[in-house]
Amino acid sequence: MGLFSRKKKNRVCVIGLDGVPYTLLKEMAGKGLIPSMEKLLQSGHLHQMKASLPEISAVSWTDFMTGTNPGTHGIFGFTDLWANSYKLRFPNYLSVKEKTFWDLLAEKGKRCIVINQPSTYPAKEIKGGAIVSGFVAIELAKSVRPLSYLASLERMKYMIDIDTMKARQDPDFLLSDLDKALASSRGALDLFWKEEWDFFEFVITGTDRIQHYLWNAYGDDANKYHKDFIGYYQKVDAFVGELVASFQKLTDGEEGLFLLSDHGFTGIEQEVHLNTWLQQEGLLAFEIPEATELKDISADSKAFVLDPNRVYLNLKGKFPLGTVDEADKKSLKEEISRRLLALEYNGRKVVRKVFDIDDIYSGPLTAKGPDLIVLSEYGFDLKGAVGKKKIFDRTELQGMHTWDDAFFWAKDDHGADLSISRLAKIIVNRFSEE
Amino acid sequence: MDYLDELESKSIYIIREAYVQFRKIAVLWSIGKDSTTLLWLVRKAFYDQIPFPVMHIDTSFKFKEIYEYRDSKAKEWGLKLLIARNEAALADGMGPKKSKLDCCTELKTNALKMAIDKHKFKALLLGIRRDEHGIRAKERVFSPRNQDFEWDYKNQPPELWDQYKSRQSDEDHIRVHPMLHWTELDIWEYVRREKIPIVPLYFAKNGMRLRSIGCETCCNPVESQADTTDKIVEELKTTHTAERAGRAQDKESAYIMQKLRSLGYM
Repeated sequence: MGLFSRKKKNRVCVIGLDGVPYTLLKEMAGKGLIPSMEKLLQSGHLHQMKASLPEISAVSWTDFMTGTNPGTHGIFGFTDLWANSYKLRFPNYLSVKEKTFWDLLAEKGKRCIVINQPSTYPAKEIKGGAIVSGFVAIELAKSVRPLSYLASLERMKYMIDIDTMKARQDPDFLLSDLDKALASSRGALDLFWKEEWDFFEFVITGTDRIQHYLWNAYGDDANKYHKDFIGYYQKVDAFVGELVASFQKLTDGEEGLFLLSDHGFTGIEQEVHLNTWLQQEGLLAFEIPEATELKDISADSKAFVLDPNRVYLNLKGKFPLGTVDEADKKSLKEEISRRLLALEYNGRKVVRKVFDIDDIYSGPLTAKGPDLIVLSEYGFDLKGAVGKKKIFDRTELQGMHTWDDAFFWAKDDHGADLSISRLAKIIVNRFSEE
Repeated sequence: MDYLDELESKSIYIIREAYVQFRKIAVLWSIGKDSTTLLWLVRKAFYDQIPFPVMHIDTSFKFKEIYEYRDSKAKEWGLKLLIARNEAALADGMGPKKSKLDCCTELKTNALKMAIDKHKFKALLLGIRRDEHGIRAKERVFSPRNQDFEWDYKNQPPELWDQYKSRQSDEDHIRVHPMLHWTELDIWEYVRREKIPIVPLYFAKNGMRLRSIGCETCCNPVESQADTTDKIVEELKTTHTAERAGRAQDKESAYIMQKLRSLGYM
């Protein structure tokens, strides 16, 4: 190795592809549509992986970055309630109660660069490294640390995310904004890749976006946007291919390379409004007839749901109008689970499983979270909105998240039954093999 | 016609159009620079005899300079002044110390709702501008609101060739924005040209001034030496701070909510 060579054995590079399902990746690679990732699949191991519960980015990525679960890191969803109230709040990166693995690596002197990682807004300095927050980042100035990179990113018109408000209404806008975002990702990659680093992570969120809005285009070659859907994946594949090639130049191999998604995806058949269901079951009521917010809940309510599938018992002591005694908790949980499992739509089961929080979360914050998490059958997109008239409904959204169909790619086999919270350890272990 | 004349004549066209279409109409006057400019335009549109009321939503927490200015100008300009206050909430002790968001909801939004109910207004003229706040970029000149004041920004008719759509099925009232196309700098250049009297709070004292005014409890001054209209115009040509940076409302939450909605949450 030459004196000025940048080659280092223990570099690690993580590529995150938000919302990419294991089955889709395998299928596309099998059809020869995504050659770069196909090559990876042949040279390493593609694992089907479980996401967090609930299976949404805010929780799943926080499970990933801390190697723990919501009972320990404290992020239960995109939304939460203020203590002892029914008022919504939006937890952010500063609410995460556990250290991220890159903070731990940084303490050991490793230089970490983390780009477009969802749920890291507002950005916090990584000692000796750099971070650019991803979704739901708002202002670029609060998304970049150290701030010395801000001017360069502004100059290249770096995009944190596409304009989802507009994209939802207009597929052509969606496609052109996805291209713009990917181009700006390239710019950011060029900027940070040439820095000195030991750990490098880059996340693409466009894959999640196109699936929310155009999932139906994937499997249907008569769909107007079928070619565009495949085309976007091919652009992402080319991006991944370039990144992998650059990494191989630095390390002579793929040992330190990892790819993952934070949840899977499938098509929506029906949206299922769980609060409306609870109302019809007589377990939830509101003070005013047209309530759209939880703060109008009635005192005699037994339970309510926060997005997308978190069931909270209206417990005494936990909520201002709590009616459920600690002693009745167990039987009420069982009762709600039983009724949920019996819920049907056109003769089809809606709910696959109801998890008791004590079985899936651990840690000091567990009691602050929900009591049950509802896992639906594919096609039934659970929702926690208040004020919907019907239990079952449809909007123009086409795709929904899945829990058990995320993916993880590594050179080595890490066994079956993998979940996203285990990856931090696998990644950090790469560095202890020095 | 110069640039300011063009802005003025477009606004006056919209104001007259709104009056002809609705009749039961009022102009909202917060006493700030924008709505005072709007009031100036309304006076011009009707040759100083405004044929409808001027409404001030009074939270009771405004700066004393605002009250003094309001009362003196209302008299001088012969305005039919309506003062909308949520007396019930005030009697209940509502204020910014309780919760800034609830305070705004009760003393602004609900006070306005009650006034609309009472006077059965079909349309309101507002001095908002497209450049003042991210979300306002989506506003239209004629913008329908339903009974809950909800604004379905994704379902708005296009406004091409100045054809303003003024009716829809579930609307409660229409908000009319005659100054949507103005910028903060346009306002000050127009104020300077027309010599419009403006609340003194906008002009620098001891190195500080307000760029956006509202309630005394929720407005923060910015550093500035601009103590005349000329100096403000100069300052705005070089500044990089957002106009409403000194306002305390939680804009980030609003953004997050909208973003999450677009992805199917909430």
